Amino acid sequence: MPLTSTEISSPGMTINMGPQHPSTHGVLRLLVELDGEVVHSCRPVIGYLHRGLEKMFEARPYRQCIPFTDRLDYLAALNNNLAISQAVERVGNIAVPDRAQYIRVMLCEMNRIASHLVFIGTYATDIGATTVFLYAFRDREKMLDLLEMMTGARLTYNWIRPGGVPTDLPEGFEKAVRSVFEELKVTLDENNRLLTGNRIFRVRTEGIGVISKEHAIAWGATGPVIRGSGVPYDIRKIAPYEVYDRLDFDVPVFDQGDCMARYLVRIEEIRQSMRIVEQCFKDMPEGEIMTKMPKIFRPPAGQAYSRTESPRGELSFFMVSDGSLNPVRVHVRAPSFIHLSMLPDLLKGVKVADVIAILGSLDTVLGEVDR
Amino acid sequence: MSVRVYTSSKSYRAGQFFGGLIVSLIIIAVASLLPLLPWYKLNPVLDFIGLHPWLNAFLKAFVVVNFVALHVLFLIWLERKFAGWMQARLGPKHVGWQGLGQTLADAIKLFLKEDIVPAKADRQLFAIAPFLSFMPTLLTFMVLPFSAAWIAYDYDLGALFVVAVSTNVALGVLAAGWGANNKYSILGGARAVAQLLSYEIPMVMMILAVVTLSDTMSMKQIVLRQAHMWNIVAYWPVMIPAFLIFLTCALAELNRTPFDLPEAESELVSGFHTEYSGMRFAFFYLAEFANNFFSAGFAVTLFFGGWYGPILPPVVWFTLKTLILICVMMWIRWTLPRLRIDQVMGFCWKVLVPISLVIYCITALIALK
Amino acid sequence: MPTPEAISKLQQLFSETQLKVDWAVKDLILDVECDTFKKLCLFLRRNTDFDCDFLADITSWDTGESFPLWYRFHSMSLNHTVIVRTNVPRDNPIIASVTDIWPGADWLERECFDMYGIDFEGHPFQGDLAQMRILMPKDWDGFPFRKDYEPVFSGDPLHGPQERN
Repeated sequence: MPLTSTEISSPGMTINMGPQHPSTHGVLRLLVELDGEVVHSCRPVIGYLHRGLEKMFEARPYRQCIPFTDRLDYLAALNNNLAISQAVERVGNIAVPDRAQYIRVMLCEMNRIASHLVFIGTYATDIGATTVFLYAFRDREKMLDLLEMMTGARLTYNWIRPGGVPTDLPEGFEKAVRSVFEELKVTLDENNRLLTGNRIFRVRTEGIGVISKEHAIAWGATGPVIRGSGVPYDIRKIAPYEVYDRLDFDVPVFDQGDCMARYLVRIEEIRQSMRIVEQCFKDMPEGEIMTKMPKIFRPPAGQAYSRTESPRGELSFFMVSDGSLNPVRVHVRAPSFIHLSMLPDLLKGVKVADVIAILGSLDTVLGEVDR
Repeated sequence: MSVRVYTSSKSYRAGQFFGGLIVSLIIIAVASLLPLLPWYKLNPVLDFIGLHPWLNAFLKAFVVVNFVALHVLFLIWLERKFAGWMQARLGPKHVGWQGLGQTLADAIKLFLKEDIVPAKADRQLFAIAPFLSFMPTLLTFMVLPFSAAWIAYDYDLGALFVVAVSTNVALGVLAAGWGANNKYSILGGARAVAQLLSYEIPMVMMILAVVTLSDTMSMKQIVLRQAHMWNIVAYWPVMIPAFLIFLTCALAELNRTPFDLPEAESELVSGFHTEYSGMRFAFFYLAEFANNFFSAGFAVTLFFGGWYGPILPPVVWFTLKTLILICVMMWIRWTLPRLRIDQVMGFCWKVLVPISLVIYCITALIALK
Repeated sequence: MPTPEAISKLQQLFSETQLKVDWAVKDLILDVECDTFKKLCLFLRRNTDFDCDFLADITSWDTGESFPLWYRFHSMSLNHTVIVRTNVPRDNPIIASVTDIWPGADWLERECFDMYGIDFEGHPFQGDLAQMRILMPKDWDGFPFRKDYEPVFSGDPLHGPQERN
């Protein structure tokens, strides 16, 4: 039966965006109630990718948990590796050698660049500029090649371990990184000219999806989302881990709180990350890269948590140990999960096209949301 | 472990660009040789046909339809190649020379695909919609002057005919959006109709400006008046903005970025043709690209002196100008992001309509003098 | 780290609360009974010496006897972290919701309910099982992260591990 006219004009027209939709960035389902083009209400439905990873951690020795974390935020797998390694190190009181810390920081920052490049590309596609997508992915390809050179993998690295890192830098790595960064600095400016200065891109993102400072804090937003709302909340600065307190970098903060601000924060973060990596090369000491770890690792009973700044926000692993081989409980505080919970509030009264713009600007990864 | 070394991407892109340029030049050179063939030997046959009105009409229709179909094959290839060059990749490469046969392969694939009609669709409407949107486009080619001789039917009211007929594209789009019984399609169809009808107004206004200056509605006559000087040069203070408005409206009529909201992929999952597959989908594509060629050709007719140009034969000049304009449209398409629906409508009613009214008034004053 | 005066004031007001400081990360850890929990949360949010305006995390786990709950608060202005731990009994797992203080607690509490069956009194969806479920399907039976949870296999791989109606 064709729809009748009353069915269309009634405010109750529900559009089911996802789980298969080009712009939900994974298997997110948004139940959007529309009045014409205006969104009445929106209800995110998640759990399509729920694999029970937190439960699976409970059945595995600590070190075997790491491959699973690659599958949480698959765009920044190293940052997840780092977060869980830190939690294990805290619960087991393990110290990490200096050189390993530098290597960790360096690689996480490179992964952050790769992740933000994906954001630029996909966000541009969401807004409708398809060309930027390929430019951004071309740059990301180079970053992935560097990470492959280091870790041997391109997406799921499974590389940072409790106690350090398994391998030292390969030969010629610094040179390769520098040459890629030289190009990236140029292409980043090119992309910036193509997108940031673009009038259409600006009218689509400025003043859209505004999150006020108070709102962002109350809802627990972190990462580029809260920094786009004018709160300088960056774990790397307020609670420095690894060697971040020895590195010189700025935290970009924009006050507008709209999609444009969140986008600009990420662009600027790419530049800062490049700065950090270059400093790491300069400051890195020689020495061990792995602490001596017992073959059978039994941390003392207790609880510990790690706080790290992943590309999406505050990624924190909470770990409970009872002195046995396996953790009793591992909880992931996934930033995307918190950001998605803001969505119903953000989407009230916006146009359909803005749904995509706002969702894209939060840069959620569903692997992390559903765990 | 080996590191893949990336050579400077700029020289790589430049190589692609010039490679593409050479390909285009070869195609144009081949096309320009075609009129040199001994066509005059066909004159007795043509005379015979010309004496028989039904045969004449049939032959003209045959030529127009085949020209459109073949040209669309080429245009789709060009669009994809162009996108490839812009996006630092190669584009179609494998089927035929430089991937020229790719569109043909795709078309054959589409024609062999199962024709799926959604269970709850309005079957008749769903079936007829692609043809509803293709027919008006095809009809407009009837009055498109490729040269003084190469025009299927030199209608006195050619410009009016174009306006009257091409508006019907909206009907096909609406039928597709409604008939598929898909909410995305309905949103896409509603957006398309709103947008097409709104942008029709400044577009018609700009056509009217040229018509007023040329003192005729016949497409052929409009071009003939530009024998010494193109409209856009002769009356540049009004005609340059008029052309820009015309181009903007043409982009909106064609549903191309930045006005591709009816088929916004990232929002509406292709909008009004979400549910279409196989041959019907191919017809939407055909209509879109045929429309693209016609809009560019129409702009050439109105502003760029139609077939006039030195050395090369007139048909080649017309095609060349049209292709350049199409490339400009593609350039815009692969550069800009998409607007929002309220911004699109606001831009039309608050910016384009007032400006086009002013421009029309000025041209009317010029014409009076 | 809140000032010693603020901490002593907190101790006066909540005499039964056990205080601990995790010196490794300079976090203040408060162990509290679940009936005074909400009062403590309000105090932490409203008191300017604590000013915990940011709820970072809520989680729970299963010890076999009870469900400990673990809340991590952060103060944006004073830059300190306060961890509040409480226990809910396994046979009647109910605790006050903090969604009215920190709206961001909404999904975190729903996740706790989804996995452990802890009821949050005052949560907008409290008592509405289908609405409370967040990661698991709406019609799921049982709480999968409890240690005694046994999945029921239906034998039909397309239907998932559980019998559905």
